[in-house]
Amino acid sequence: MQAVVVADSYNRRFDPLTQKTPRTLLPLCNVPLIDYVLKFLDSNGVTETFVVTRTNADKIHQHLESVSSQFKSMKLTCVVSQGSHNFGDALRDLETRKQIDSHFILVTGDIVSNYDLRPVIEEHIARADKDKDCLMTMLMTQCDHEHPVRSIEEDTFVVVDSEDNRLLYLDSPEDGHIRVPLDRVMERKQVQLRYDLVQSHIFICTPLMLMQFHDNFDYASVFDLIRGVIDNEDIVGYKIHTAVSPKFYATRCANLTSYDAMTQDLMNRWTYPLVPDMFAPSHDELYQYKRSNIYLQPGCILGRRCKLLGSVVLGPGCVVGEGDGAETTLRGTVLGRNCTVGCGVRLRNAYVLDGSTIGNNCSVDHALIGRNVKIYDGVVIPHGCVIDDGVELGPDVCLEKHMRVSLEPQEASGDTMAGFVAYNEEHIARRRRQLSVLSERDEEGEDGQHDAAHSSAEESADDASEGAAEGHEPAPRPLNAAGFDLAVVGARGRGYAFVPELDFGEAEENTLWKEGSLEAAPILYIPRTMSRSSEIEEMPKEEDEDLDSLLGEDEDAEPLIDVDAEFEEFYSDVLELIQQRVKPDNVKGAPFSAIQVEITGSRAAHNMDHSDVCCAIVRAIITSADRVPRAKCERYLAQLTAAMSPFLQNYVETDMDQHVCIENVWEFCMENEHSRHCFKTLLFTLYDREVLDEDAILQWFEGFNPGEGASPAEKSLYDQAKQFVTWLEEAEEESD
Amino acid sequence: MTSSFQPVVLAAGLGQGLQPLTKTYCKATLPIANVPMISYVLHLLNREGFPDAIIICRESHEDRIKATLTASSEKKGPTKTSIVPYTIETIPDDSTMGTADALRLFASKIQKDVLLLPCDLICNVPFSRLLDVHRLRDASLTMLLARPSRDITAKKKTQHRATYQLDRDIIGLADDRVFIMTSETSAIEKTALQVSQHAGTQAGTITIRRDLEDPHVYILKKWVVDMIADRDLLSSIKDDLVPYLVSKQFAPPRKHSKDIYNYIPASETARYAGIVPSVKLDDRIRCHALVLENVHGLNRPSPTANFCCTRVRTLEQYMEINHGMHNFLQDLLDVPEEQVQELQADLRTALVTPNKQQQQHGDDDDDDDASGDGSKQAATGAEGTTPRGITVAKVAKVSKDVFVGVGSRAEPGATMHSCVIGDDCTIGEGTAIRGCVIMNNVSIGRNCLLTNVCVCDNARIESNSRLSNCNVAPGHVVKPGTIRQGTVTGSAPSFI
Repeated sequence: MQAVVVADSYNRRFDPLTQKTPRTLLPLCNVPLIDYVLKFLDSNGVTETFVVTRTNADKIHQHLESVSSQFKSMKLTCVVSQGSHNFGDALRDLETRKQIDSHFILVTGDIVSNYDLRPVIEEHIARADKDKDCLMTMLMTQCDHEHPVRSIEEDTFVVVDSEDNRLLYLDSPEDGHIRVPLDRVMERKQVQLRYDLVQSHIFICTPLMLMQFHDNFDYASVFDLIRGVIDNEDIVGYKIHTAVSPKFYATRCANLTSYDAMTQDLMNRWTYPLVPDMFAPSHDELYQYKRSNIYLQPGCILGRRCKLLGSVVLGPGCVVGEGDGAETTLRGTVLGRNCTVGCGVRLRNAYVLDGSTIGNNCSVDHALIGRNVKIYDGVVIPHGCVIDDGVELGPDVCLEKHMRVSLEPQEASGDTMAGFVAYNEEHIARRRRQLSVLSERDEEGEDGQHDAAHSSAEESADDASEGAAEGHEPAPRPLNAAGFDLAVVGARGRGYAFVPELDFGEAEENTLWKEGSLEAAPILYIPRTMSRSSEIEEMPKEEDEDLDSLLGEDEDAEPLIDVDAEFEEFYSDVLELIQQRVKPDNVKGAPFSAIQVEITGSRAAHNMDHSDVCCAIVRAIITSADRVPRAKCERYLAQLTAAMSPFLQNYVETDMDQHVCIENVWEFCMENEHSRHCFKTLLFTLYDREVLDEDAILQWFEGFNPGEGASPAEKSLYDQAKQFVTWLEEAEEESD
Repeated sequence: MTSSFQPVVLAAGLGQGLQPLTKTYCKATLPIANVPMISYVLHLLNREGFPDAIIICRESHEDRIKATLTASSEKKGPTKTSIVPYTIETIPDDSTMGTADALRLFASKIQKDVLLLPCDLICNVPFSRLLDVHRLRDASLTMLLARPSRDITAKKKTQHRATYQLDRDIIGLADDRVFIMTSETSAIEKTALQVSQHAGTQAGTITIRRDLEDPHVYILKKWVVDMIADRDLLSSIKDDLVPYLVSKQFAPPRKHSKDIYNYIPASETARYAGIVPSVKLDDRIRCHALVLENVHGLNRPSPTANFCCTRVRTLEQYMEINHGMHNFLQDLLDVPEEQVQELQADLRTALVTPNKQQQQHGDDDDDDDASGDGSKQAATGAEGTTPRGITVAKVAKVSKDVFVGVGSRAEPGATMHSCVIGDDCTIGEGTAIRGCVIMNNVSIGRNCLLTNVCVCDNARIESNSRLSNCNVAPGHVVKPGTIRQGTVTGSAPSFI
């Protein structure tokens, strides 16, 4: 069995912490994430693993070499895919290397799982042998809807055939409703609609699956492939199956919320046997497991007034609460190697990496703190903060919620700009708030950075920095000696405020911690759907509308497209084009090919059919003559019509089209007094340019009789038409 | 326990699917194995211990239903039914009322939770189980769902008499709770099944099934009846009320006065508030179902099934149930087993006896119908085995599954196989009848072959006709020697 680990997340949610080290090497309970992945694959009998990397490839390579001795039965190969921009690219890159020749397991580099895949693999292979269209098996785990590992971005439901577990549909709820297209349900006896599953990001694939990525270069992730297969079920014919087990643990560390939840799950032993006292590949010694899920390395020093309240992991060489100060309490906390924590400290769901120091009387709540961070006395780090390696904070500062601090000033990259543009209003507002706390000087420096580094990206950078610049005087901001941002990091601090970049189209909250993510969840949980749908329902409604909607009138019914309005828009587009691009005194010099392209585009946008296009053009030509003096009208129209004729021909093909075209010309000449006298000219031009043929005109003329009570306008047009027809007939006779 | 529910039998339907039988019969009195259809429901209610029942029917049908029920309860013999005491409420004849509309008229007479039943229900499910679900879940609506042993989802092969298409349901269940309930036609209109996200969250896994039949047996809370009374827009229970309630589960309450939550009595709300934290206030509308897996097929008993539960809505179903009824008579009407045998035996002896006589007489009596007739009647009378006055003679073959009504007679050489024959019918010499339903006062001539035919009242089929897969309209005379094979499918009913 082969396996593929895609070890780059292609997003930057853990920045600034993952700027220099890849996320797969981020420790979870003091063990790098990738070790869990390798252990998982190893225990499932994988013999060859390809680790696909992009950024910081050397570090991952190094790490793999150091741990390869632990996985003797598994061959580890590091594949550097430097040019890849997403998951799909990585797989395409791998495909070109032709190293995958059998069924394989596909995982991301940041999962933790104790799944026993063997039965699933057997089933997968048996199925694939029978049916060549089976593409892959998608593993999912059951997870309560309120569990924090169920991230918002993955709020999906699936429809699965009860008999063979084939995946029929996968989508997210919309406007508070789960909608299952009927064709997925019909023709099947029983299907299951499941809204209690999360993706495990483990896939068992046939070799064919890589070909799919190769063939569809726009697939950016496995889910694009899944959507592609589902949506084109009839065309593609491939099948995806699912496997669900409530017994095993499988979660991806996709964002801070899941990092938090997974650490807790790990300490609470849901991932058994992947627990600190049984699995610590890079440590010499295993942890000692104590009551209430406390894991200690020998040699930890716990102070007299230190209380471990439960679910705590202390790495080797930790010193906690030594001294005579107030009580230090830890709950749900992980400390890395050689960390020091002072007295009177309150740590709740704090994840502190190796070598960091926390002074006295600090408080850390749901925060991720990097390596070798120094936190001086009296610092408060609230929900959702991420502190970069080597930052120093304090003393006596209080960070804002969800703040990130980096050691290096933030560099703006091309991606950043895209991210900035994608910011929603609220985020800019928050940034403003943050920056108003900051000193002004720093902001200047930051702006200077932007300008110097990316003058080309200024446009979008302005978006973001404008908000900040607006409310601020260019007064100097207090910086300390090394140029750090005092208001953020405190008097002795070293570091800068860091604004995380968002992935394209990603919801803002994904990067943040869910408030009260774990402990408070059962109590404080307010169903998202409830709050949302009640907002909708709050809107004033007719008395019995809910009834009506039930009794058949679907309130969600799409408004019918107003065809007339569409046509009017299209017509005004065409008219505008002609008015702007065609100079009355130089008709022939106008850029007709460009006009034609634009008309074609507009036609597609408004979904107009042939006759509409013809009608709009004729009308626009005639109407545009309004701006020409009456005397020049004839010449203008002749030239313009002649120029437009090749284009018009595309839309006037059949006899019927021609008839309609003549009718249009007639109608608009009737309406438009200004160019009425040009009817004959128009007919002639269209005839001359072979838009209309003789028969069509004669035929039309036969059926055209204004009668006795005709208005002068009609009469005038009739006379013109008659003149033209007479001319036609004469010309015919002559040619005979 | 049963006294806290009010059974209401809805018998006001026109029986469109049972045309042309319903031209002359009122649907509720249509005989199934020579027992009026509605008796099956009333008998079941009686057996389950309900003290009384309300029957809602059309004005003009009232007398007929009363008369039929009286006649059937006075009837001697094994198929005597013991029915629950009933009162009849009527709706105007010319109205186009839905079921909920009809219920609205009598809402004031209903003081308890309602058990709604259709008059065409053939069912032996102990209602106590349904009531248990209703009480255990404290449901607003409890329904009965049954999965027939045969596969109803498969596309049916071309079938005869498919004149009236029934709509299937798509039902989404999480355990016994109903989260999706829609008919296929309305689902096709909307192109998607829909469930609110919040309900989906609560349900977790919803199994969407198309293999369930809804026999239209519902228990409604009293407040639901009040809501029906107040809301004119709810016209049909099946099409309007049930989907409405199902979709309103977990819906957020709204402020206006007609919001559904305002119908729920305060006592019911107070029962949960603060006492049971797991019951949220937005979970006050609950739709549950008793799902019976694998119930008997209509005409074929399933070895693994315990119950039968179906409705008779189409002619096709009517034929099927008539054919299969001998299997279920014991279950449905509590006819003791020996009496079922007796029921069949009295027919059989009646058949066998003249046979013997016939053999004694020799085979030469074919020429003389009248005299032969008389002698046989006398013979059977003498035997005393046909107390119901059935006269059957010299029948080569009668299978177990034949029911013959009072005063019917079969001439020598007639063959009957899985069919139901009404009262006062005559079946001619050498005529073979297979899988037919023959109503009252029908005469069939000699040497006819009838396969899968439904013959309505007072029809006459002359000799030497060969009919299959078709219907004979009431009072119609089929000319001698007619050969007709019914159109197999098609929307137009194929009557002769």
